[in-house]
Amino acid sequence: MNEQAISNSNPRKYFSVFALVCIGLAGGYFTFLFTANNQQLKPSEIEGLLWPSKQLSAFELESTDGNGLNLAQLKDRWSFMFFGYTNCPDVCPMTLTTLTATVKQLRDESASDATQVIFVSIDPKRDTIEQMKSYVKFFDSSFIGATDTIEKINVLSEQLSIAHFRSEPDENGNYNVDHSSSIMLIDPQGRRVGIFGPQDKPGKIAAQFQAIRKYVESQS
Amino acid sequence: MISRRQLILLFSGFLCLTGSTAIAEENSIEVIDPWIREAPPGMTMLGGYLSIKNNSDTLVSIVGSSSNHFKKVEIHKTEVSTNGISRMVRQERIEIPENRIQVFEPGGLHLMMMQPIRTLAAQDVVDVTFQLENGDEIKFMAIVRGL
Repeated sequence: MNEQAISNSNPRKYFSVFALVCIGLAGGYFTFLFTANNQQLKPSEIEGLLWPSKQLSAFELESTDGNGLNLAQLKDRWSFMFFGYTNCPDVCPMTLTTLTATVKQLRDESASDATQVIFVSIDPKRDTIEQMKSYVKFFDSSFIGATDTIEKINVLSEQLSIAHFRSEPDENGNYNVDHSSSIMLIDPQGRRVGIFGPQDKPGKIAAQFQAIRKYVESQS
Repeated sequence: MISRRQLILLFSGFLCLTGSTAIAEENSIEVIDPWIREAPPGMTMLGGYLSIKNNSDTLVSIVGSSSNHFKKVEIHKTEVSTNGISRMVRQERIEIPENRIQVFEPGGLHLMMMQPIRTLAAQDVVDVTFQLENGDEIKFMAIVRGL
């Protein structure tokens, strides 16, 4: 009697298992299709992206275009912001040259609309607004320079974790300023969303910028 | 048996040989593509870059730099720390082992050229001197490159 019961239930058991496997496979396949269509990189896969973003709060600096540098000026634009000083012989001109090439590449790709480059001087002792004007124009006529008192600069630089220290002047009064040299990316809502290195090549920055912009816009 | 006089002559001859070897060594140091980055008027510090090749069979040590166009020239190295802070570290001495090249390039080693005597424009040519530890000097001309 037992043998009979067992031999009768085996085919049904196998069939149930088989059916379950089919359902599982089908379910898996449709899930794959669904996610494949909506495939998007995760934040950790987008190099340079800082997510969740950080909303900047109010600050006010004098700027070379006369509009002042504040949250209103960051609105509706993607800003590449870099902190340095005009008497910097190496890193600052190198980074500004990189940004000039980056913007040129974005222009060639018709992707430069609504972008701006902002150079903030953390050396107001030597960098007047007039000095900043001639300096940024040297790189690209669209670049904006900004500076003000150290206290006002700090309101912005501290939000972006930009550090700066002045060295001791030598006998001729020359001194250097050690400073964070990363390029910060601010989105049209005034949020810090990305970071690039000063040694990065223009092509890399342009590509990363496009990827970051695509992601940030998809999250709105 | 060598007399004292002969010994002195021999020794002097040896010294002359080493002296002339030193001159030959100086000629076997090549400065490649020296350039200075143009800066807007009024800037007090400009960056200088080059490659320097030591074709000799002894270590070459640069212990100073100068130029008639600048009040002071120092050698610095840009270092970016892990938290992203750039600082320019003064290099008191640059050593180039035999048959090696030392590169001075943006973001790395550079000449910090301070207080130009007049504003430099692209295509201007400027003299630069390296002082070596053994007392020799290497002189070359650097060209100003526009941005």
